[in-house]
Amino acid sequence: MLLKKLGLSLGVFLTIAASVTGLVIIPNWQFQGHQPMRKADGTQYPLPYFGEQAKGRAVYIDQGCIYCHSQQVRMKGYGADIRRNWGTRRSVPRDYMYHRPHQLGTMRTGPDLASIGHRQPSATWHALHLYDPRITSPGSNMPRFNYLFTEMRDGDALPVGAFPGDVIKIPPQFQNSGITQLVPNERGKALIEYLKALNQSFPLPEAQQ
Amino acid sequence: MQSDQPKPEHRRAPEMQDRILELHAAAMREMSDPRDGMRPTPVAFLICCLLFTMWGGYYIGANAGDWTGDGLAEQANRAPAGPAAPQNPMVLGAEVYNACTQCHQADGKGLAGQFPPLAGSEFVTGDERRLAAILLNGINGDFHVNGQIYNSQMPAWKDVYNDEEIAAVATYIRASFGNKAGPVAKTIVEAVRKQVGAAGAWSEAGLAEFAAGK
Amino acid sequence: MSATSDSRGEVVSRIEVDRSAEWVVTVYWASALLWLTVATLAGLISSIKLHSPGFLGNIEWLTFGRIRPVHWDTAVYGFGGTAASGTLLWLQARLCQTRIPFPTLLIAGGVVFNVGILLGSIGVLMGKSTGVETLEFPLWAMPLLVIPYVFIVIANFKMYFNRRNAHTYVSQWYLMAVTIWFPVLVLSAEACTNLGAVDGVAQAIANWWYGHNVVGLFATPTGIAAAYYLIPKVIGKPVHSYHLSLLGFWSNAIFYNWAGTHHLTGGPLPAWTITIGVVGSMMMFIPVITIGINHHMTMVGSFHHLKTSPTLRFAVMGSMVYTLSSFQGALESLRSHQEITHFTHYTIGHVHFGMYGFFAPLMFAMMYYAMPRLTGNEWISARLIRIHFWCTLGGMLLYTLAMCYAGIRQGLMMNDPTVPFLNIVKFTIPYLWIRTAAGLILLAGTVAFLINFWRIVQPHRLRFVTPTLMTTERDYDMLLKKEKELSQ
Repeated sequence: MLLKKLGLSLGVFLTIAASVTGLVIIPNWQFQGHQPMRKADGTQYPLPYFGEQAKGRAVYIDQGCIYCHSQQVRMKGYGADIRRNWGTRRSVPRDYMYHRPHQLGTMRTGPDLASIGHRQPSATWHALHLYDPRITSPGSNMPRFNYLFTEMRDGDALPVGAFPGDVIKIPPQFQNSGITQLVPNERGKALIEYLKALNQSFPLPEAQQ
Repeated sequence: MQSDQPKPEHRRAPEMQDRILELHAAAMREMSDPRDGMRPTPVAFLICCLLFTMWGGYYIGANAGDWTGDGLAEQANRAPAGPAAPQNPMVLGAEVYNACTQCHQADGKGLAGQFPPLAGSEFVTGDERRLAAILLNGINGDFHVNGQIYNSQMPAWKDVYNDEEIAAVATYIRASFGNKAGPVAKTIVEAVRKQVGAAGAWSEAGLAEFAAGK
Repeated sequence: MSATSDSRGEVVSRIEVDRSAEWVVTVYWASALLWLTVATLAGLISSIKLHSPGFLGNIEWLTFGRIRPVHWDTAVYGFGGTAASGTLLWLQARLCQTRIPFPTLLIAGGVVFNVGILLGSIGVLMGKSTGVETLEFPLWAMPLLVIPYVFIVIANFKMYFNRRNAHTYVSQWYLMAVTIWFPVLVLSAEACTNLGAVDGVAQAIANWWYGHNVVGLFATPTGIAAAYYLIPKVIGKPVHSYHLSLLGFWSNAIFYNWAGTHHLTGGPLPAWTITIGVVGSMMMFIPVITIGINHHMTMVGSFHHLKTSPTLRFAVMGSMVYTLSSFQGALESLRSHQEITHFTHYTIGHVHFGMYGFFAPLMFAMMYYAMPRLTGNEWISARLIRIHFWCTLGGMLLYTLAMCYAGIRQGLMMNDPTVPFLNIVKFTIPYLWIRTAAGLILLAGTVAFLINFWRIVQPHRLRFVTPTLMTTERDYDMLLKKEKELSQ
């Protein structure tokens, strides 16, 4: 009698319980055995993000970079991810074992960033690009993140806590209203550190398939 | 439906008795609640559903890899294509150059004060071995190009591109942006890789030393 | 009045139900329309920013990466959540022929729900997003969304168990399913993502399992329930086949759950999870064709009503787009298709096709049908209904076609490594302008509906005595003038 009353509800509940078990719980259980590997220089891969990099990751999330940039490289022969130099190999589950929240992303209004730190290690480039993407990438439709920088005119004193080495010159043709130099602020610096740390070039064995 | 109703008119809210009916004109005129028709399901349709479900089972069986957490290829025999036929280095070089435009720009002029130009640069059009060495290992620190000082970081491309691709991009930049130097052979890249491939990024002095010590 | 076969008892029960529902459902639907306006505006800002990145460029609160999730979240929870909840309550009450229980509590719940969405959106704009797509609202905003929904679940079960007729109609199955699916869905997805039960790739799967199911197990069943009710109701014919309803319901319930992983095709997922997602999506052909036969065969022979009835016009548009967008979505899951269209604007086009071509029109149809019964007024302006309909249809088609075409070209260019990436960006810009234009058209339709809605909830001393049909001419100013004359 009760079963007849609740039959519909029970059946419906079972459908969703089945899919969450099959698609989330079982794969998660399959990933449990993943361990980081030791690189030639003694460091480990992958490593959890900490310090500046973790702070930068929070900025990446807060600014919503995921809505235009993915962080996953598809295999050779499926799309042109590797030929576009977005990575040296495909991404595998182990690359993400410490990622919380995940930032895989499903949109490429801009290029994939899974290994941006590998193909673009220059902090200067990242700073100029974040300050105004049109400096380094003419025609880009990425927003400016000028609020991650302190703008300086010639002769301005350094902002508190910045070193002379942090100052970045804006190429002359992009200088506006006397602003000639930039210093990334705390968040900007952290974000650049995080972007430079995005690197999936270590050849994990399961990535060779 | 009341599509044949006369032109609508306004009516003043009537007194209590009519008012209730008036208020619920919409509820009164509506059709009765929907009922179920009892037409049978066409057997052909059911058979199609069954066949389609069988296809689903087959597709899962054929494309699930090895059912492990690291089995990422849906078919074990999805072999990578064999070695590609040699390509025109100018075409291949143009493709590889897409990775360089971030800094050196599509026109090869770089960004004033930050990223050196390739157009008219002696490092590009000069010694082929030195160019290959830069492309393979990258550069770190102060660097003079055409009398201008640059301080930035160029990534090493040795893990990313093979000798053919490096030779192609070198050939491409030597013949583009107004540069008119000859092609770089794959064998030169091969030799330089063997010689210095294990080293780190070049400093200006280190590179000069390498170039001088032919 | 035209012929209805109802006994007086049935009419009385309808009136009773509508009286108990009047405030509750109006509150939910009014909030739905307000959130739809907010979501459309947020969408427009995001859209403009993609082709003119300087637009409102210096305001960190409105940067693309913040306003874009606010657009989607206010559309899904703000518009979808409240429109579907109103629909669920009214439809279930009508079909069970029982009053809506504890209306005051439900209204309070609706208010809390709105506050939750408002606070959540402000949180995202302030940069407190969790970074998990579709679950961006900061954790502290979630109880405000979950608790009111518990009231709705309880109310729904109460009505279902107190129903007057033993036979349950197909719409009721879908409504029951929604109330079970949605809380389970939200709670397990929050647990797996923001509460950190799983990390990395498993979390990404949980995220897209949720992202797909929030459309598939919340918006879709509510939309189908509305179509199953409205189409036979308005034309006064029985639904085509009970057996097909049964097949459609259970195949939908079984297959749709598994489709989410197709959002990560090519990604670092075990091959079997993606394969199951592909099959789950392809199997959707069975329920979609079944439900399609049921809806469209019921309509056969009654298409002339489309000319006059606003409800029917929106409902049929919704059910037709349901068939089309589901076909599109199923094919889109295939690996060979995803290789090109994944990561492109094609997906965005598909989402809007489904949400604004199927779900939203069916919610509009419900409102067009029920509001005159809830308020006792007729829709004031037929012209505004026409504007709303043509803007919805036109804007939605323009949007979908532009984005899907641009997406295919974008995907093909992206898979050709000789095309510089910035050339792809430049290629999409004109289509992004078209999208902004389409967004403006949709906004115009929403505003037209908002005006009509605002007017129908006002008390009027004068009433129209016939329904407002698409072909009638109704003038609000005339009504006001007459009211004024009478009062003198």
